[in-house]
Amino acid sequence: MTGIPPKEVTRLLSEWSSGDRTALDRLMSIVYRELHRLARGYLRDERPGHTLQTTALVHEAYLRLADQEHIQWQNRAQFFGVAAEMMRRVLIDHARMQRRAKRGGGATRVSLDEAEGICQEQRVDLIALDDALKALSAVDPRKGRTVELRYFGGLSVEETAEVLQVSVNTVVRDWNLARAWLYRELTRGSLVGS
Amino acid sequence: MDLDRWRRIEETFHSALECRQELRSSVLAQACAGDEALLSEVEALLAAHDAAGGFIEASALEDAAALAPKIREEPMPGRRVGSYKIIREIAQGGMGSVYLAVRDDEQYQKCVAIKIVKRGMDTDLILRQFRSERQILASLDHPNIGRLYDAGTTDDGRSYFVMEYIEGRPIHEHCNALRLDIEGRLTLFGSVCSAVHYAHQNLVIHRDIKPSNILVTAEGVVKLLDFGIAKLLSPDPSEPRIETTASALRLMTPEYASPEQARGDPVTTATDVYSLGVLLYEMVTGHRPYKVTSRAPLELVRTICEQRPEKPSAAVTRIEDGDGQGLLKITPESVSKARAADPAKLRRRLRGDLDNIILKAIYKDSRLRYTSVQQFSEDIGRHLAGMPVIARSDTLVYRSRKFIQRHRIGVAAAVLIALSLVGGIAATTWEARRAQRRFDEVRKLANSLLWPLHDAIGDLPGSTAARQLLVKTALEYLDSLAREAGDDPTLQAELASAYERVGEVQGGVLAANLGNTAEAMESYRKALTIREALVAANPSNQALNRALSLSYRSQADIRLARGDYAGALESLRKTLAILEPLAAADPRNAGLKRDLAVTYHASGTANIDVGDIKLALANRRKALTIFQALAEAEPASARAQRDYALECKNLGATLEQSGDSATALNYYYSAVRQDEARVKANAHNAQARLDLSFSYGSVGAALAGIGDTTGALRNYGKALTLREEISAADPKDAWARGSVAYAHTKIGWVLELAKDYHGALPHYRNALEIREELAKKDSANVFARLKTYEARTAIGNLLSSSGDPAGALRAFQDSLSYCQALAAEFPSNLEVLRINADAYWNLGEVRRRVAENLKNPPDKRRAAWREGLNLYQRCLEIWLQIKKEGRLRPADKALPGAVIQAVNKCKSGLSDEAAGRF
Repeated sequence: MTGIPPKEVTRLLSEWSSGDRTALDRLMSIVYRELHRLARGYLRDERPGHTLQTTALVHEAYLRLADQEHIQWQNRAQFFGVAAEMMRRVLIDHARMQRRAKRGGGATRVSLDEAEGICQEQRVDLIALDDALKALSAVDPRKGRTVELRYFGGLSVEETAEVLQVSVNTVVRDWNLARAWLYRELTRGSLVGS
Repeated sequence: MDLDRWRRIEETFHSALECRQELRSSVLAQACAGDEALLSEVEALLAAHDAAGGFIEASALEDAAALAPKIREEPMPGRRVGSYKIIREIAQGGMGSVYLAVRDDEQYQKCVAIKIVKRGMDTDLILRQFRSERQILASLDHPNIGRLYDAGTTDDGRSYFVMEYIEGRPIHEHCNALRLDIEGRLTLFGSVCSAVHYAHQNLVIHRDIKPSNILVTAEGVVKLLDFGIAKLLSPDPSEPRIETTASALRLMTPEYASPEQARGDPVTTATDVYSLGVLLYEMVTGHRPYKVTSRAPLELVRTICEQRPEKPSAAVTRIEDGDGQGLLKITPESVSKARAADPAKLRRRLRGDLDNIILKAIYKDSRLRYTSVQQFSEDIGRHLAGMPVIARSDTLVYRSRKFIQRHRIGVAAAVLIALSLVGGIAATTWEARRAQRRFDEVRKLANSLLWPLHDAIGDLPGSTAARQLLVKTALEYLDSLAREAGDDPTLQAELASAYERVGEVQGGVLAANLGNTAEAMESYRKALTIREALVAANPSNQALNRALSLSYRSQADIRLARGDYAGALESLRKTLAILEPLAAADPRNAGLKRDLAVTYHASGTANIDVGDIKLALANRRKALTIFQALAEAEPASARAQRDYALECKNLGATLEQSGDSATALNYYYSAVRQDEARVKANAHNAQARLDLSFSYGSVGAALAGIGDTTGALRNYGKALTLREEISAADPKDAWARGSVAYAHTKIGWVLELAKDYHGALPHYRNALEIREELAKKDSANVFARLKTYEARTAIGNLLSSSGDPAGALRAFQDSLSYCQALAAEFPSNLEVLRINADAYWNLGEVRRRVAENLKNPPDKRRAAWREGLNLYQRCLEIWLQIKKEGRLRPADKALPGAVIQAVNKCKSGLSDEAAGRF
């Protein structure tokens, strides 16, 4: 349990929307902690092959944190916007930790089978992706944000459109280009197999 | 990268991507118009787009999870768990897997089922909870419940449960394989209910009832599995909100989860009723009540809480496509074939009762569901026996709730809501062990809902039936609580208070009541029985004794209201028998002293009612002595000062009744002095000023009684001035305004006594004006209307005395029509009946005077006798009716006789007239 009363989050959201930046900081720290807690459970305990859904996780954080009865729809979109950003931080932190653990050697031995498994699944290098995403955002912030919301936040195209206040079509186009661009960036240095 | 460049890349990328594949290169060439760098950039991006495949399409979470090292699971079969050896996996589910295992450390091999919970659950917590619940879970001994033997932790730290191994198949498969018809399915479902009901009686909720948890053995015996496990697995019992989330939903099959589970509200027996309803829905229709399309928690919650289920009889016509893999296509034909029927027959079979029964079990609002599994099961039994069922397609409560949503609040509907809440409490509470909680809830309900509601509607015309329903319900609940409350003195005392409150509402002397003194007596009797038992068990407990004494006093009040004066005096004697020694033992206790004084006062009033003025005086004096002592001991206590002054006036009034006006006057003067001191101490004390004005009035009345008209007028004049001031300060205060009218009436009365008819009339008119204004403002208030009658009649009497028979006649006729209107509105109100009788009498008297006046011509006198006879007879009818109903007041006892004499006088007057004797 977070110990954060649902009303607190609702209040912070509305304070933020009326221009109070400190509310956003506080909100982000609450959301980060909650997502971190939830994600840790997923990442540590899920059995292999079990599908993980970021959507479920973010929605769960929302259900836990937001005061359902009083929250406005715009606030909900705002919340998901914040949650996606925090989810990105959580996962990148997680990836960094894993990398450190592996470099530390010995602590966690990776079997051959396992290494093979990872290769076959062609997983994304999250840290490299994060770096590329930063570069993309520097040129085209909206596309960077689209990726953040969809990939890290697990939001649907419609939800993303809601958060960014753009049309669904724009989200689809931004997504197509951003994804192609990121893929090229990451494959350029052969960070992803193939 | 510069932004303009990027925009061009973007534009070109999209125009290429959005055109047909075969046109792409020409579109690109056109768009780039020789810009080679742009062309190669966009081509590279398009190639990346085509090659990206599933890149970042899955969630980041999944990609992150892949980074974590995985422990390759050792296959379970062959492993040992506790003293059992795992043989093979039987089933997999949301919570984990179930294995067949044997106990191999003994000579005989016993098969068990072991459920190993998947990782991610806090095993310590589960075990701790299991230990606390073990006794209950292990004691569930019912032929339809699979036993739970043990729980523990595996070597790699996962929780497991050891359960009875049952060879069987899920209930749906069983039904379909045997092609059971609806009767067969309902009968089987009855066994499920019996198991769940048994568990509820043992304070265990299942929380996860679904087909895979209900097996049917080859012998056809139903076995429910996993009792209590869902609760053990809910992450943290001390933090119920945790269940609001997806974690709780993840644990269970969402299709069977109740709205309260989805929302994370407390889980009760009504939750199992709901899941059973869904189970039955599926058993009879082959479909689930609604389709859960998304597993996203937010969507799930919305579907479960909002989507309205289709009627079962309509659901059987649904077609559901299979998924080409495991799920088969479901059609009306396949469904009805499995139920040994054809589609039309099946639909008819379900329409009506079964639709209603199943939909009642799965209401979103748990309060509208069956109150228990037993009730649910009994309703199915009634259906099978062809008897009418409880479930209605649209229950009264449901309809009235809708009605309120549409029309704000109506009286009867408000009552129905209250009742449905009571019903809800019954549904959501446990049996014996939770009596305390239920008690608290009922108490809370009574305090926050029933009584405020009752008081709120008390003044509304036509609310009597609704209020009776409220009281009836309250009583039923109290009676059932009384059976459950055990011997906990606090609960018992609470119960007694509740009965007293019911008694007060039924026929109490305070505020609005239902006027049913017989039922009120019964409630007070119940309260007394409890309080007597409490005192018998704790004879020296002062609080219990005092409460018992007050209960006797309430009984006395109600007996007085019923005219049972002997009974009232008996109750008051009992009150005193307790209070006197209590007060003697605790001489500093002012509260006890006051109780004692009030009881002496009440005894005095009862003495007066039975005509025992001597005893009344003695009791009043006792009361006065105590009130005086209290006032002297607590000079700062406004109440103590007021009590004393009031009792002076009470004693004065009793002395006047005994004929001792001189002594009475002394006490009245004493009251005036005290009240003047109170007003002087606090000029803003409106109560003290009003009291003082009444003390002046008492002095005035006493002076008028001994013929001192001037003194009387002087005092009433002071009273009038004071009251006018008080009323002007707060024009909305009806009581103060009424007291102004009263002063006018009294001044009119003093002047009338002194035969100053001319001076009296304006005061009577003033009084009437005020009374009418007040009655208009508060037309539902009988009291205000009765006062208006009195003011009218006073004018009639004055005109009659002053020798204006025509004016008197008009005034009295006016009074009569006023009374008749009142009687139509309040047909059974005793006061209204009395004034109706009075109005006929007054008119009869006017006629009689005309008839008796020999100066009048014989025709006129004859007509007057006839009319008088008619009026007196009407008057007599009313008194006889009151007498027949046993409502004749002692003070009114002589009246019917007097009316009979008047009737006879008219008759003889008529016959004399006829005989020409005059």
